[in-house]
Amino acid sequence: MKVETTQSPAEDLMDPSSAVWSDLTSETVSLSPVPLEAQPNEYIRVSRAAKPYGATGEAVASAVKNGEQLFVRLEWQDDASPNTEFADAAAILTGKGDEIQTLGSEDAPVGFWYWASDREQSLSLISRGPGVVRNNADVVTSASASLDGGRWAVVLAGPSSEVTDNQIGVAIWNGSNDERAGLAAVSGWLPLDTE
Amino acid sequence: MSKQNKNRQMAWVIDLNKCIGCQTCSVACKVLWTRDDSEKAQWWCSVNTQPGEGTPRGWENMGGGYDAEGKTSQIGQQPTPADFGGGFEFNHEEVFYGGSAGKVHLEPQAPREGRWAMNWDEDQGAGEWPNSYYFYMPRLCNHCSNPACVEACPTKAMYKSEDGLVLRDESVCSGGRFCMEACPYKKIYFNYEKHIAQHCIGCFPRIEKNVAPACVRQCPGRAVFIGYLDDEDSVVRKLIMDHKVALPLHGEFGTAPNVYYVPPLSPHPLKEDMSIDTENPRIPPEYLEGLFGEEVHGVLKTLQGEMDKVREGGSSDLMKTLIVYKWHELLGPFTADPADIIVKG
Amino acid sequence: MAAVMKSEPVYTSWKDIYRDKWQWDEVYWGSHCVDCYPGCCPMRVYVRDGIVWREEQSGSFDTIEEGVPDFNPMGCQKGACWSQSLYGPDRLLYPLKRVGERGEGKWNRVTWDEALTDIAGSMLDAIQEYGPHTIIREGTPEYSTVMSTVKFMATIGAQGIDMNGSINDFSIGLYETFGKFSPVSSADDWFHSELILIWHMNPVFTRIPFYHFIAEARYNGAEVVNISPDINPSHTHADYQVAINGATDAAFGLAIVQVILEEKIADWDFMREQTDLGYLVRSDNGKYLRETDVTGEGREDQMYQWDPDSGLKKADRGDCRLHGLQIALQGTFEATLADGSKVEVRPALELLRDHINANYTPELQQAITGVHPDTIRMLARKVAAKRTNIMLGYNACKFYHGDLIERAMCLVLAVSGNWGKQGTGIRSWASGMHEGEEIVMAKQAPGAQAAEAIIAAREAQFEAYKAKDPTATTEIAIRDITRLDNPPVASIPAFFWRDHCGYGERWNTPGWGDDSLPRSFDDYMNEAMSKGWWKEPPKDPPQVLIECGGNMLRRTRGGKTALLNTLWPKLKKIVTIDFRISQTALYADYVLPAAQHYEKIGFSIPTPHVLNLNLSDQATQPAGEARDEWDIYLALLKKMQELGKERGLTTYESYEGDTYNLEEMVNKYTLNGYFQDEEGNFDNEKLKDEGIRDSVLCGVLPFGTTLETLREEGHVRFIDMGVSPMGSAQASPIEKDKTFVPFRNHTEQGHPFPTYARRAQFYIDHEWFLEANEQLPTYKPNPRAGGNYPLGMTSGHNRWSIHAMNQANEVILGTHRGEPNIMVNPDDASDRGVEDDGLVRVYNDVGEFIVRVKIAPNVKPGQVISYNGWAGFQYTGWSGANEAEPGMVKWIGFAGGYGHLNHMPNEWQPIPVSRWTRCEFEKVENA
Ligand code: SF4
Ligand code: SF4
Repeated sequence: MKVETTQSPAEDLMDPSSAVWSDLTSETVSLSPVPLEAQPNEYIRVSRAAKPYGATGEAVASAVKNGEQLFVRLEWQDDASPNTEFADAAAILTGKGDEIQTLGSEDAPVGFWYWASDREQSLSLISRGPGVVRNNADVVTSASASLDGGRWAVVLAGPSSEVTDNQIGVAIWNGSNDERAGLAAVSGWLPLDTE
Repeated sequence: MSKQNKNRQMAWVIDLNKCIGCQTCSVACKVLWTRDDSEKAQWWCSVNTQPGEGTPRGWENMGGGYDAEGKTSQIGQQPTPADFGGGFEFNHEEVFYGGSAGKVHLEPQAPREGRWAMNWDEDQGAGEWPNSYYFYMPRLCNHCSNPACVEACPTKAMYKSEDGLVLRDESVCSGGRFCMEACPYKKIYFNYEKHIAQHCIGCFPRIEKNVAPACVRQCPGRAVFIGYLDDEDSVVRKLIMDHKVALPLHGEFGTAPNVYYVPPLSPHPLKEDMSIDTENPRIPPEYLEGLFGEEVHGVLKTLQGEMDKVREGGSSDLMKTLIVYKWHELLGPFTADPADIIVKG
Repeated sequence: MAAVMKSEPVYTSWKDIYRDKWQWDEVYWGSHCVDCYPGCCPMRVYVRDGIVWREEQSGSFDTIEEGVPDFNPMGCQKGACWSQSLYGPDRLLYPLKRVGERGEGKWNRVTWDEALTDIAGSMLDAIQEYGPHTIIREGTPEYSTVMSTVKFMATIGAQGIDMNGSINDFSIGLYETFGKFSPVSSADDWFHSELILIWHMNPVFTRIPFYHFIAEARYNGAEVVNISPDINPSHTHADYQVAINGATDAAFGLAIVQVILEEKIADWDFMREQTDLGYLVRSDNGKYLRETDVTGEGREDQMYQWDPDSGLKKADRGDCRLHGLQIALQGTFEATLADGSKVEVRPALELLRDHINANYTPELQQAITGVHPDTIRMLARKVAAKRTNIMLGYNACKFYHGDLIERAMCLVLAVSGNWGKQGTGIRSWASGMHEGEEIVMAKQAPGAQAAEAIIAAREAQFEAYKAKDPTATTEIAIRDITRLDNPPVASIPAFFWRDHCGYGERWNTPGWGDDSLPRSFDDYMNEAMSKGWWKEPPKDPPQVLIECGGNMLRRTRGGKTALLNTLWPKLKKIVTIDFRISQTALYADYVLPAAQHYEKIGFSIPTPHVLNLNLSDQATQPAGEARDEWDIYLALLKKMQELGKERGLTTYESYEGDTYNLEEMVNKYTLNGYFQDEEGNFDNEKLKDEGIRDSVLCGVLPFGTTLETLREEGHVRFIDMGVSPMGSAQASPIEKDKTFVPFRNHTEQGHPFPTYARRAQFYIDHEWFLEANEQLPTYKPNPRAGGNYPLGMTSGHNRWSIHAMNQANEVILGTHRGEPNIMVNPDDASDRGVEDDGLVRVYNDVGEFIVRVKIAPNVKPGQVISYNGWAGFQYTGWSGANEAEPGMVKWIGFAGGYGHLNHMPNEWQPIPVSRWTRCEFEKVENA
């Protein structure tokens, strides 16, 4: 994914509908469910065996850098049903290793820049497997979102220093399907083409 | 010195022949732990009229737990806020000061459709007059020995404490709510502001100071006992293991709960001609079997038998134990008076 | 098997959040000094940053009697969240003045000075125009307000309305039988019972702190029987449920008596000694054989018994005991009258036998009560064989013929020898033991000497009475003296409602009262007045109403419909003094904020149930501008004095002709400044200390008790019942290591009862009783008060509030549906197309109210249960269930001129009833 550097102010970049973003090239990222057998406990494996999750197949991503901050804009089609209990959510994953499909592992944790539609603040988390997350107070992230015609557009921002191996990942939770924790759709690592 | 001990199991015994459904336990707990606005609908301890749908509505049919052997996880349903109900806002200001001249009255500001609350079906029960029947049953987290919630928690925020309490490290809880699905007793609540699940903490700050939990110490019915199961002298052990009159609720849920109940006797029903049917209790034994398992029949017999023995002039250790001559007998090792404790400063 | 993590994770900081919730700076003793009767729960109040954080039962009572469970940890759910009312949405913080119409709900915040100036002005207007008796207060037993209000009203010569007459917790049938209505055993004494009849009480709701003694008595071998039409909550831990037809309890009780007599399993000697059932009744006129009949002179209230050896024997008016004499309970005898004529006489028990054999055999009663004859026989045998305790609440007394129900209950105990010993008896309510508070009110100067002078004068009065009548006990002397000093008749609520609220019309409505009577209600009332049984009260229209602790519009049967159109327009000023906004406050002119129980020093109402004086200390400063009532009244007196000066008014006369001097009032109220602090405010602490010391001097509290010692211990057990009318009526000593039972003086010492007949009186030959066929306990059907409607409305105190006190507390609102309801049987609901939680209009010829329905199969078909205690403002249009209650009084309450049947404050007087009012309901669409 191409990552340009911009002088646009952060406020503009945090606006998913800002013109800055329409000028950038975007990329379609395909996502697939976190594997059932990777789920962290028997209860989740048993209870989700017949209840598919992670069906958000793709998202459109674009990214831009402003100084030390990396801004990633994600856009995807939400399903039509309303959220009842759980929120729609998305995360930018940082890190390395092969275990992005399981949202990290004990030995290869990944970072989450995490946005959820029911939270005012974005979070920064460390994930060591599906749903196995801890807060990561060391990293400051921000997010903003808009919903238009059933399409979410979310901008997540965090320190580019968090990005390792020049790659990021994307995870999406569909709230109306009760997705949360390890019940997500996740991409592979996406190499960043930074100017 | 705290009387807490490493890796023990605390247990409650609730005598349903003493409980009067007064909700003091629920209220005491609420005032102590869940007074925040975000916790308005939470009742870690709640009391319901049985038979009934209880709280959350229809919880007995929401799944979770294990098979009867405690091995295979059973799929559970997460109760919705509507299932829990309650937490109503009220229009006090408008009624008292709004100048409505009686046109607005004090009432819950909530949709009428499907309305429910913690004790919505209070005193309704079942059966038909004059043989209608009901009793009261308090419920709190069972602090199970095989807790399905702990297993279901992906973050491992939940754990068994040294006292055998099931606790949740709230700084770790990420709000995944699998515990709420897996708990077959549906005694876990979600705080939508704090994005964490919450449930009975076994009053651990009181236990640390040797003060009995609020639901025990504040029960005016003197119906709730607490103690450690491994303590040879504990009354709970005596009632559960020696007299064998205290049974777990829905033991078939497989979680090995640690809140036990002395099942309720009930007045005789009336026959068609209004004479008393002295052969039968009013509460159908099958109903109680559904709650407490087959053993309930033997337990009811023991209770009635011992009661009859005393009526005929005999003496019964079981009856004496249930009488509770000195209040402290209920409190297990946690007999400290909170008023004697300097907590702050 | 699921993996369980046993080790504690490293994160423990989250625990501090919870540890912090259970922290405090200071702890005080507290209680809920409302008329939560019997309440009396000692609490600990935990204060944090100057705010009451929470409370918890103290659990601090010692064991009284070894082998009997202790009282701990008394409390209830309301008490466990009282602190949440302290800062709750109904809490009053500032004086409010009505703007707009009364009841419009528009208020302005005003200063204390502005409010008091206006109120004092209206009071002076009332005094100048009509006299101070037109300043009225409604009686209330709310302990934290009652003393200050009484003192204030007495200081200015104003009028209090009799408390028990308006709330009607007066067990009239107990009074008719025993000459007193208030026997109460200590709650732990229930443990000694072998048979507990829960009968017109619902202790699962109303005795939350004490219920355990019933459950524990059962484990100790007692059998528990719950007698109620609905399968009410107190059936849950009973052995038997008697599903009786509503209001037919007298027939049920009399059938039990019939079996006990028939099967000859009665306690004959008990009856001979304790009751009038061995007194001789003339066959010719149905009246007692009297000394005046036999000798042509002597006492009219001197009756006779029959000694098989020597014939006619004067019943000993001074001693119940027969010292071995087996007076006749059976037989027909002949007595010679003064004029030489002969008359047939029979013991009252004979008449009773005839009466019940003819009407109340187990088989005959079934048609009335619906109770199977076998049940009657089984219960009768148990009653006769066991220490039996009737758990009577204040419900039977709210039935039109409640006195007949209660008389039958007393008779059940009489024939089985069941009072005056542990584990037996029947109960109502009593207080009054903390006599020091009364002494303080009457004192001329502080200190022990002034108290001792009052105590000595009191003693001398009793002794003088007893010297005149050597057969009188101190108890009898106290009651007769109280009767003689009786307050003006204006204090009787029935007269107040008749004269000022238009109730006369209701009372005379055909069908609503007892249709079996030969005369109209007014006829009886006119006769009572013309015979001088009651003084004609003043007719001047009331001018100022002070509601302090009361809540007239919520409580009065007839509701606001009855009062807003009649009384309200007469009132120039309506003042509510309260810590919370009440139904009555919403229709007041001024609402003055009072300190709540945790914000002022006080006691919970002392009762024989607990026998302790419990301190409720001031744990924090009153919120906002709230003030202690003592201080509010002091400020009002100062204001009256100040305005009086401006008007040139110094002295005035009361209706009774006593002179009141405005300039002396502050001094009278404060004991010449003794109860004032340096700033001139009322010093309630000093008053409380003085009261405790005076109670010690009276001999009711242990030597050495002071406010200081109470602050250490929280509570202290009474050592004597003292000489208040209710305390002395217990007629029993308090023993330090025994549960308390009333009436031991009667059973153990032979003290006569304070009745006309000097025995527990089951034969009342007052002319009205004879005319009504109520000389003996009997069953009469409940009148169709409210009109000819198919359903009967019952009530009873609810579980969720002390009166309406906790109805705005959101914690409590969360323990039920959050709004009022009526409970009805599923068939009655479906017949009317009503679903659970549906909205209905309940109506009759009196009025209507709109309410939600709760469908419950435990309700008897044809019954509507509307539990008492919802606030009016929780109903549509602020109209609660009392709007449909006619507020009937039974004419017999106006009877007089017959020993104990003479006006007695708090006791003998006509009382309003409400139970089993006829009504109908219909579905209304949701608004
Ligand atoms: S357990 Fe105790 S406090 Fe709770 S409802 Fe029962 S009697 Fe009341
Ligand atoms: S409200 Fe009454 S019963 Fe409840 S705790 Fe207070 S004093 Fe006790």
